[in-house]
Amino acid sequence: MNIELQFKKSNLKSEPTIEIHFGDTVIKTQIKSLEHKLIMHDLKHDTDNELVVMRREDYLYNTQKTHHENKVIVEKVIVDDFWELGPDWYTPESVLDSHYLKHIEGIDGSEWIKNTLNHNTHLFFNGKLRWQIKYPVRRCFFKDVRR
Amino acid sequence: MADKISCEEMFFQGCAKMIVYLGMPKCASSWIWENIKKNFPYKGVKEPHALVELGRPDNSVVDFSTNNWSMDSSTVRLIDKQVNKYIYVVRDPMEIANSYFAQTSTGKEKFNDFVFSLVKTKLLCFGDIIERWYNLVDKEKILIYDYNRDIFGKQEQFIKDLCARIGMNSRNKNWFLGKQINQTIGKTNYRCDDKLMTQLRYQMDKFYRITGILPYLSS
Repeated sequence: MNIELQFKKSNLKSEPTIEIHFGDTVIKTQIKSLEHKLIMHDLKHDTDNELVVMRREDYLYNTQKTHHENKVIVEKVIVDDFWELGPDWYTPESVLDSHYLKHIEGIDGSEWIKNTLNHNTHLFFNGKLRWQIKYPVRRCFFKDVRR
Repeated sequence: MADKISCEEMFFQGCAKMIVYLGMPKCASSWIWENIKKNFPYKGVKEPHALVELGRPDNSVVDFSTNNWSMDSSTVRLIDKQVNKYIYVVRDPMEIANSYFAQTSTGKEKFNDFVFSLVKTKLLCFGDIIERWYNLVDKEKILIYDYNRDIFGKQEQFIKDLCARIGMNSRNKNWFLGKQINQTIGKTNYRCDDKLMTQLRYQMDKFYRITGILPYLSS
């Protein structure tokens, strides 16, 4: 099975590195241009799985900033060359790293962060965006009769 | 005594003869099934849902699940050598949406939101569906019909054509033909917003462009 990820970033001031996990497959990619596409080919998919897009840039902890100014945005995920996940459909779960949570606790004006995480597709934090990709994929969206 | 072999093992030993109904729902699939089911050496249910929910066949003969259009590509590759023909029936997407809405709505959901979810789950995206299937299997194996043009009001002609194309010449006579196609009770005639209508029109145009079928214009 293929999974295509379409990214955007806020500006050209930096080239964030992100890590993508699906099953046993891990790919690192650097977002160099404002739009970036990555296709994971021939993935083994015979059980329910998670697709994880992860960002971990420790420089943030040496600043008083609550978030990365260069946001990485997952515009679209195309699963099995067919199913399209985007900001208005089957959005991921945002999982903040424990170090990141500890970091923002000490900074005033970070309350907004937790309010933005519902249906969020922006990696402005250190942590993960996580989608449940079931087997077969349609089970993400439709009720099962046989399970 | 020979070991028993599973239905799955039998499936992979047979010649390509299986018939798979890809969809769509609300396109007279129950009526078609009632017409042709006695021709199959199969006693199971019309919609086993094995291909779409388990990723494997539960028999080597026929699968008339109306959601087969949405099976994984790995499942398509698993079964395709054993499949003789796929049947794909489309219908005016707003008719399907209204029929589904009448059947499943809880009364709390707005029709527009309902259609939005049918578009996002690809159920009304006939262009995307046929594009995907043409990429996965030999397109000559996919028999395409339009409910509005080819089935409704032309049932006998349709069944004869279908039976001929799937190599089924011995349709059980006196069986079911003539009975009306099931109609959804309390079907509505709602419309959705312009944005969704544009998406539905795009999908129909894409479907007609890819298949080369002339667009159906109701009289």
